[in-house]
Amino acid sequence: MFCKEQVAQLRDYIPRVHEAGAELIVIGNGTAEQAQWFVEDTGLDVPLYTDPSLQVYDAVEARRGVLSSMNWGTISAALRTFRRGFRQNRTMGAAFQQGGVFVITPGGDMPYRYVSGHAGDHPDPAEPVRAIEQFAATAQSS
Amino acid sequence: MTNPVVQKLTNLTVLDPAGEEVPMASLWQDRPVLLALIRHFG
Repeated sequence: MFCKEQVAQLRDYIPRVHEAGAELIVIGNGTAEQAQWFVEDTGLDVPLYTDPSLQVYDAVEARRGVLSSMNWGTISAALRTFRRGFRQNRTMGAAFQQGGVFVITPGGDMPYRYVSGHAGDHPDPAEPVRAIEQFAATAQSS
Repeated sequence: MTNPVVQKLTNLTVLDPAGEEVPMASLWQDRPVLLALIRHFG
């Protein structure tokens, strides 16, 4: 349910991302079939990929483990998410893997990086979107 | 200079929903990307 909440929050910012000449890309870690199901279930209209090997998660140093998945932060986030009407389906992917949000530019820079501390720990989507807009403004003026 | 984390990502691939391998580096080749790594599909 955290994932659906995160995708719903990010979706609101897609117009701003596109206006800055960028793209929102979602990466999960289940099978390709599960990725297809997620696209259909959420109606997501941005590119989505999956990394069942978890190598991408390891490269960005995303957290993995039982403690990062079940702690007070997670319980609090679960209550918030449940109140907003999101419900957990069957877990499709690595149950104890955490995620993150990153901005990567064509030049290979990473002006924004947020590694989730626990399940349900997401940044305000406005933060990475601002990083993209700043990059676009700098690229335009140079 | 390429960020060291981006450098690691550059050599990796992901799968699209059809099961085709896609090089990570191709994702940000032409435009900046906001990359959201979610916990799982569910």
